[in-house]
Formats: sequence, C-alpha cells, structure tokens
Amino acid sequence: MSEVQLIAEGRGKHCGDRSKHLLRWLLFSLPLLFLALFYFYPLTKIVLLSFLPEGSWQPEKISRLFSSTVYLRILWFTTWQAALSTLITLGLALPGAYVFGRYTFPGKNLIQALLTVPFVLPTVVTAAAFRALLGQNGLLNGWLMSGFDLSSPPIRIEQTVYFFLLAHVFYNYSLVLRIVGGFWAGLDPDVRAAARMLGASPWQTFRRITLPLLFPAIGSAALLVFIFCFTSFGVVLILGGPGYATIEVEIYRQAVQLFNLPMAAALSLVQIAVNFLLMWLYARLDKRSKTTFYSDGATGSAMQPVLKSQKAWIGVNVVFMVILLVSPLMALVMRSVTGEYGMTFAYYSALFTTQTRSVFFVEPISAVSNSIGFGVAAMLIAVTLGLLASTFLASARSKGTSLWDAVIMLPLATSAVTLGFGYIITLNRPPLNLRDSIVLVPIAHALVAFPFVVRCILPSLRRIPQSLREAATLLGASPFQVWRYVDLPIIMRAILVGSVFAFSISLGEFGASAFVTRPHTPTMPVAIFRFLGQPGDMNYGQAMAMSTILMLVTCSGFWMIGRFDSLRKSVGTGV
Amino acid sequence: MRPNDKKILEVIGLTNHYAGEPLLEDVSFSLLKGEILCLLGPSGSGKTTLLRLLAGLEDEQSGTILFQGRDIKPIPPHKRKIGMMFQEYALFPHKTVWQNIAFGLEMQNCPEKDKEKRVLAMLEMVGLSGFGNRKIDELSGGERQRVALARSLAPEPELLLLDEPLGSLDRTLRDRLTIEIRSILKSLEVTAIFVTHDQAEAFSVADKVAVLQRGRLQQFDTPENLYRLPANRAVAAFLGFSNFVVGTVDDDSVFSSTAGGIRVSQLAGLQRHHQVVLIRPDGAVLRCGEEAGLPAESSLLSGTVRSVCFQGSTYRLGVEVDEKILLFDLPIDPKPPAVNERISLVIKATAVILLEN
Repeated sequence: MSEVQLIAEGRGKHCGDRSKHLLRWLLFSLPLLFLALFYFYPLTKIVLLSFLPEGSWQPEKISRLFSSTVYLRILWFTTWQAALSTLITLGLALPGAYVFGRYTFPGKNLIQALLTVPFVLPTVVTAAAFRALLGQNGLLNGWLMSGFDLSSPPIRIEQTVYFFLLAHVFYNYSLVLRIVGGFWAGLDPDVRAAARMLGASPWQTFRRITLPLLFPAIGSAALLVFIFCFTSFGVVLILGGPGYATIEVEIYRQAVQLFNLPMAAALSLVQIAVNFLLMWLYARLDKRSKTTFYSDGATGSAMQPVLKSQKAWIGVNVVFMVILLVSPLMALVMRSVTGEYGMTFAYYSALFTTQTRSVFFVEPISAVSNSIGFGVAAMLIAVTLGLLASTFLASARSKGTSLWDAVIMLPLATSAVTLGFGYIITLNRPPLNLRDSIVLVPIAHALVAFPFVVRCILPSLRRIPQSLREAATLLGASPFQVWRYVDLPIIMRAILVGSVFAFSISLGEFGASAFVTRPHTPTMPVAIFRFLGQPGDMNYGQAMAMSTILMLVTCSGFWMIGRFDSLRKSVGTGV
Repeated sequence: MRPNDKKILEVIGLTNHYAGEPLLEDVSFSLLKGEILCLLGPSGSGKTTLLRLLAGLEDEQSGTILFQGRDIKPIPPHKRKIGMMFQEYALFPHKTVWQNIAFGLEMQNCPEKDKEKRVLAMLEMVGLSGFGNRKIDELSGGERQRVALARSLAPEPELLLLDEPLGSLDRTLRDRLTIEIRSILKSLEVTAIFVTHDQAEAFSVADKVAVLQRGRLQQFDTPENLYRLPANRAVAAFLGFSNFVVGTVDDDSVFSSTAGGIRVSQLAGLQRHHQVVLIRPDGAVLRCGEEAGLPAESSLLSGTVRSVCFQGSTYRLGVEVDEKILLFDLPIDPKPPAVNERISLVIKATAVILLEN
C-alpha cells in the first residue's frame, strides 16, 4: 500500500469515516432487506416445514425420506445424469476449446456470437427446439417417415434419458468452450515454447505443461456444468416425461400435483444442502483458475493454422458446433411454420385468439407483453439492488465484505424451484400476502438475476484504480461527483451487460415462474410449457411459435448490447 | 583467429516476412564458440523474430542458418540443443523451482542421480541454494530471473538465447544481474545471443554487438568500435548521439559546415558524398583564453551556452552553434561556464565521425 493511501486512510479514520460508514450501510440496507424478505424468510419456512410439518417436531418425515428407496433413487438419478452430462459435454467441448484457444480462423467471431445463444436461451425454448428436431412429431422424424415411407417415427428418444442429456450438452457445450478456451488462449505461449526449448516434444509439452495448467479451468467448468445439470428442471420436465425426475422436478410434482408440501420441503432441503456444497466447491476452485463469468472471448495468443491437419481439425469442430447449435433452433423455427399441409402461419395467428376449452383464459399472445413487462420490472429491481450492493462491496475490502459478498451470492446457489416453492408457502398470508399479486413474478425474477448483476458490476467497479478517485477529489469533486463522473461512466458497460442479463434471465425464467405465475397472466415459458403439456397438433404448433418468439425477443436483447457497444465506441466514449 | 576459434553459428541472408511486412531483411553474420552476441535495436526491429527463428519457434523464412555446420531448418525446436531464456521468464507456474530446473534434464532422460547433482549445482551457481522447494509465485523478480537462467543452462545447451531477460527489472538490479550473467556465461564458456534494447546493457554483456533496425542488420562490431565509429546516422541516433552537423567535404580533411570548419580524423575515407558528421559529446575541451594555440588534429567551435545540466561525473552543456543545439560533456572541474556565456570548444578530430547518410 502506498504512503498516500495510508495517509488518506488515516485521515479518513479521523473525520469522514463515521458518516461514510453510515452511508455505506444505508446503501446496503435495501438489498439486504430485499434478501431478508424474499430469500431468507421463504427458505426458513421451508426448513421449518420439513422438520415441523404440522407445527410440531416430526423428524419421521425426514427419516422416512432417506429410508425410502424412491427418494434415494431420485437423488441417485439426479447425480448420475448430471455426472454423465458433464462427462459427455467435456468430451465434446474440450477439442472445441483447443480450437478456439489456439487458433484464429475466418468466421471465428460469428461462431463466437453463435456460442452465446444457448447461454441465454430459456430452458423451455431449448426443450421445445429439441422436440421440434428429434421428437415424435419432430422435423427429422417427419422427413424420415416421408422419405422412407415409414408408418411410425424411427427416432424414439422422446421421454428417454438421452433426450435431455442431449439438451444438457447443447446448453453446456459453449460454457465449457468459453471457460476452457478462454483460459487456454490466456496461457502464456512462451511457457510452451520454454518446454520445447528444454527438449520436450509437442506431446510431452501438452501432457506435462499445458494439461496441468488447464486443470483448474477444466475443473471449474466441469463443476459448473455439473451444478447446472444437477438442478436441471425445465429440460427434464419437458423432455424426460413422467418416467424421470431430478430432485427439482420431484419438488415441483410433490408441491403442485400431489400437494405433499412437507415432502416437497424436505426435498428442497436436500437440494439446498447439495447446492451449497457444490457452490462452495466451485468458489474454491474458481479462485484458483480466476475464470470470468462473461468473458469477451478467447483471443489472446491464438494464431493462424498452418498445417493441413490443423485446418481439418478446426473444420471438423466448427461443423460440429454449427450442427449442435443451429439445427435445433432451425428446426424450431421451421416447425413453427409447418402444418399438416405445408407452410402455415396458423400457429402464430392462433396465438391471438381466445379459444374455448383452451389452456388459457386470455389470448396466448398476451404472454409476450406479460413477459416483457415482468422483464423490465425485474431488470429495474435487480440492477438498482445490484448497483447498491456492488457500491457497498467495492468501497472496502475486508473479511466482513467478502462475507457479505458470499451472502449476496446465496440465491445463485439456491434453485429457482426451491424459491418458487418457498414463495407459495410463505407469501400467501399476512404480513406479506403477495400470493395473488402481480409483483411476485418480477420479485422472484429479480432475486434470481440479482447475483448475476452484482457479478457483472462488482469486478469493473473494483478495477477502477483508487488513484483515479483521488485525482478527481484533488481536482475538487465531491464524493457524489466522483461517483457520478468517474465511477459511473466507467462501469456503464457493466451495468448495461448486467441489465440485459437480468432482462433475459427474467424472460426465460421457468422454475420459480411455474409456481408463482397467475393463471391469467402467464409468462412466455409458462405458456410454452402449458402448450407442450396438451395433446394435439395445434397446441404443439403454438408451443413452437411461442418459443420462436421468445428466442427472438431474448436474442434481440443481446443484439442491442452489441449495437449499443459499437455506438459507444464510434462516439469515442467507450472505456 | 586462434586455432580453437571456430564458427558455431552462421546466418546467411535470413529474411522473414509476416503478413507482407518484412520482419527481417537479408541478415547475415556469424558467431564463434564461446562468444556473447548482443542483438541491439528498438522494439519492432526484428530482434525477437531473429531469436525465435534460431530457436525454431517460428519457421517461415528464406535464407540459411548453419548451426555447428548443419542447416537446422528441418530440426524441430526440442532437438536443436539450443536453450532459451524468455522475456517474462516463462517459468512453469505449476512446478517448484527444483522441478523447473530439472525439466530439461528429465527430457534428456538424465539418470536420477546426475539430475539431482546438476540441479543442485545450478541452484548454487545462481545463488539460490535452498530455494528448490519454493513455488514460482513466491519468488521475487530477480529470483525468477535466476531460476530461468538456471533452467535454461541445466541441459547444457550448445547455444543460449536470452530474450530481454532483464526487461522487467528495475535499474539497479539490472546493472548487477547484467554483470552476473556475463560472468556465469563466461565461466561456463557458453555461446550466447542476448537481445536487448538497452545499449548500456549491450555494452556491458557483449563481445559483439549487432544493431538491428527495421529488420536490417545495420552494424556488427565490438562494443568499443560501435561506440567509436557508428556505421550510419540511424545507428548513431539509436546509440543516443544527437550532435549531427551537415556540411560538405573539402580538401585537406576539413569538413565545412555553416558552424565552421571541422577537422575529421579519417583522412583516407574522406569522400565528397559525406555530408553529415557526428561529434561525440565526450570529444570537447573548454578553451580558456584566446592566446593558446590550437592543438594538432582538432577544430575550434564557438557558440553560446544555453543549458547546463549536472549529471554526476560530468556537466552536460547545451551549446547553440549556428542556431543548432549541440550537447557536450565537460568534467565537473573546473566550474562550468554560465548560461548565455559565449564559449569556444576544442574538438578532437578523433571524436568527429563521418557518417553515411
């Protein structure tokens, strides 16, 4: 620490410290209150409900849960499918990570943009897209049946494990590619060169130098994939069918379909415990690899391929990426405009009408405006709270701050289904009777998005050198002016990224929405889920149409970041 | 040439282009066994490219590199027996100091016992005995530099390449380590090529200096010759000289400029096309009193003192001569002239160098 800093801090202790301290906590009180009401309160209720189902101590329920093979089987299945998904994803994505980390090639930027699509795509859309491609009524089966004159669909993976494993790979492929590829590109190429100069062959260099250096990144990517698959909800619910249940799906079934609230609470407790354990592991691992959540991509030391074999290897991977990422989405769009008798917009126009005996009380298209409205509200709440919390966390660095940082990240380690369940058992009676209120949906979404927003803003706030603020102060800026003219412009991009993240998280959120959405104000994912749950070509087609709209709305959000970014750069105010 | 002097490295017409831009243009030189060569030049001059071509880390090239009499183009880098010390050291972050130094020996399948002995000897040589179990991130900049040196020397390379090995260290540490590196390299009789952009470093380490500019080899000489007789204006400017005087050559080895006639020592080479001379700042003596006669082989220069800057062992005077500021270093005794004082300086002819323009 420099002498100036020491002096500045010493002086701070004497005069402005007390009011500064008060201001910090005042800033932080709002996010804290929000977390207390909408996170800790419902969670406490879940814990109470699982141990005291009827207001008295009944540990039998819990012990029955663990002695019953049914629930052990669910836990085992959840773990097993997550592990398998992780392994398959790693196996497919690591070659891709190599290609992206080491080489530059034409079209790389385009593919990089494409790779972000699954990352932001709502689970329900992914599920619908895979059904559109490979389902019973899917595009591929349709082609095969008409091409080979078959009477029944030849691909029958609907309602099998493989179907949602495939969707998990689709989801997490780009995650592994980004984390490991980015890390790979960031490795100092001189370290590899040094090994070569010391007599190591290319293979020895890979095995003894590159691979060990990649381990932390591979480890944290694998763990993250495992966490996502372990808590997988929408994909399993829609693609797995009634035969398969992860803990998340089972919580939903117990609570919504069987009304066995104590059992749902007990399962939520298991989920919470496992999630915390996994997130704790992840945080420890991530400290070592220092991977960023939203990196701008892998460039660094990448070079142009020289040998034919290198070019071929790149080609194979790129083709695989395009097939994996593009074909389900293409199928989704095509299936949404293909009826029994060819091209049709019937599904889209049906979204605008209220049908008798339909699964909706209102015309389905209102789900679009609902979702956008909820999205904007959730975004405003999450960004306001995120900005306050980040300012609090960035203004000091101590043991206490990192503890608060961890507290803020807790919602990230809690599944949305658990939260949604907690809401319906707590917020249905005074003092907080929000069960029928429309604000419950944006609140739930904001809570899910809040940690992401903090993770977007906090690092860039912390990267601002203290000397910048000191320079502004010595030039006569008040603390507020320093924040307004130094901090705010620098973190503007991070705020923007956080906003779009919050908005798209809200748009795609399904786990909590499945619990808290009111029947006549459905969000898009909830509407898609309802359509998919009903028989008939019309419902199926409308699900495809709605999914296509949701995909377009989500992607246009990210497209707008890009536009805004290039606009800022062209104006020359970009940081 | 002594009988055991033999060329270990011969570079002939080496040219390398990247994306249409020439990085190296027709570079040729040769190096004797045990010599230390310094590649000196500003950033972007092609020093590092040349080094990486020798190492085999880059391979699109025309021209020939003969190493121990063999063309090394088809030999992959790990079989060249050339060691390299990298700019930011490139130490393996997941290995200890010991494991870093042992790596090259392991690649040679060196027996366990010999390996142990060799690593210990290397640690001792660079003054890091007892540091074997340290992790890389526990080391200071200077310690890392020593580990990198020990690591690159452990497998006994026939040629050691050092890419700005002191670049990121502070001045005092650099000066000390420069001398240390030279004595270690000399005691092991290692042939080495050392890349730097710092001329002081080059002069204190090297037996030979090669000055590169925009991919071209401008001069290849001993440090002393380089300083005394820079080959052209670009080299002189890079070495920090700024006293260039434009004029014409007349008979009797006198170079006439608007500043007056300046006597040049290289009589034989004097030709009409020489239009620029360099006056080295150390070649001037203050003339006290008009009566004293001018020493032989010297010229007289008159001007007005515009600045006096104390530099420790000398005063650096900025003297305005014919609307141009020339810099001269004068001893701190006697007291220097005051600013705006008009003075006369005696310039030794040996300090005046004709330059190819």
